[in-house]
Amino acid sequence: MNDFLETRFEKIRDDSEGDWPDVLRRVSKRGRRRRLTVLGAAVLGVVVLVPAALALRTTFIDFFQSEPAPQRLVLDFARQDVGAPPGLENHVIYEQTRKIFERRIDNGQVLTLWVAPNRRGGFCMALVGPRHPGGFGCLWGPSPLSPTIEVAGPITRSGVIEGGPFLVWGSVGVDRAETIELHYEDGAVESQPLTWVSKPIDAAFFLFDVPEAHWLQGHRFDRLVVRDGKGAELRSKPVSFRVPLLPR
Amino acid sequence: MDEKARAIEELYRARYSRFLNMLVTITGNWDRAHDAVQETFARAYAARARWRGDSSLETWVWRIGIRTALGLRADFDPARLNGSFDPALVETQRDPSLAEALRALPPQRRLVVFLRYFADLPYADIARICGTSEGTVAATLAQARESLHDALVEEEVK
Repeated sequence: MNDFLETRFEKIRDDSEGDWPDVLRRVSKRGRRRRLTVLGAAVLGVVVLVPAALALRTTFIDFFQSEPAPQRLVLDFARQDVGAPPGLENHVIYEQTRKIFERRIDNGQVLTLWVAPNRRGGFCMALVGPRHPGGFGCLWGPSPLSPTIEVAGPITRSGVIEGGPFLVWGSVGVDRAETIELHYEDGAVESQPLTWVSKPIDAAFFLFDVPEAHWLQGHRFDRLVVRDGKGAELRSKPVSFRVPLLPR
Repeated sequence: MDEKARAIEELYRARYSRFLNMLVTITGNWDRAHDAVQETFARAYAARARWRGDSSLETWVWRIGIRTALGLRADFDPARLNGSFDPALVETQRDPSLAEALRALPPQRRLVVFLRYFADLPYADIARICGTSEGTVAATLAQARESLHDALVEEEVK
């Protein structure tokens, strides 16, 4: 009798699959009141990226459940406003600094993205590694797509990149965004899932480690594209590496 | 991602269809059932810090699921299984005789049958979800099986 019922029920069951990214979006929307802010666009400095350790799908991080930053990182965040001109302070809430992700880049170094909310309505972030001083930036207002470019160098005056890592990282504040693509001048495209973070951050993050083949002029990146779970384009932004003004 | 978050995602990926099939008996249509499952897991994910492990994660999520499907109705009292809602098969044309036999059961028995055969839950979990004892679940299921068997055999004889 038992098997008889099981057989009957099995025949009327629906075996469709779910949509986990939609669950994560719902979680995100529960806390989403604020839009992201973009502050700095391109920051030239030092960093390294790695696509190798990328997650296979969009992930969601509950900010306050994420790992708190160690004291030295908290102090680094706290120092960012020291000496800032009046009116230009970030007002970072440094004691709330949390880990967003860790990525191993091609040179073997592990970089960690740390983020803290600020009282400007945005957040501050730092990409830190053992041999990487940590690119730091803050957003004060809503920003759909805010990339940071970092090159370890050296870079010649004519713009030849002689040393990496060469990184493109940053945040996305577009609803339904699931993946981000880095497009190169030669037609190549790299794609990766975004890492969404709950409020008070309410943004998604990414990190590309530009392969050496794309350090060369004519093969460099020229565009970022944000897509939803079905592949539809939500946002596109030209991005390019500009040779920094080097001291003579 | 923390351990609880990973466990909830794994549960979702492994059991989505079970939740869907169960919750549709409460919501009455597939779209609302899908919505209920999505909301259930979003709520569980957001509130996972509150799960202390005093019941299994799955049991905890099922309780959220049933409440979500009921639209957080104030008259739902899981402790009494009082039949204040009326779970039923949808798309009865898939098995009209089973649908009719199930309709003849009291709502609380129907719920236990659905939790057993759609959600594929063991007695202990059904008991925790319904706020009753394992013995009551076993007895309820036995009565339900007997009624269904009689009804379905009668139908076959006709």
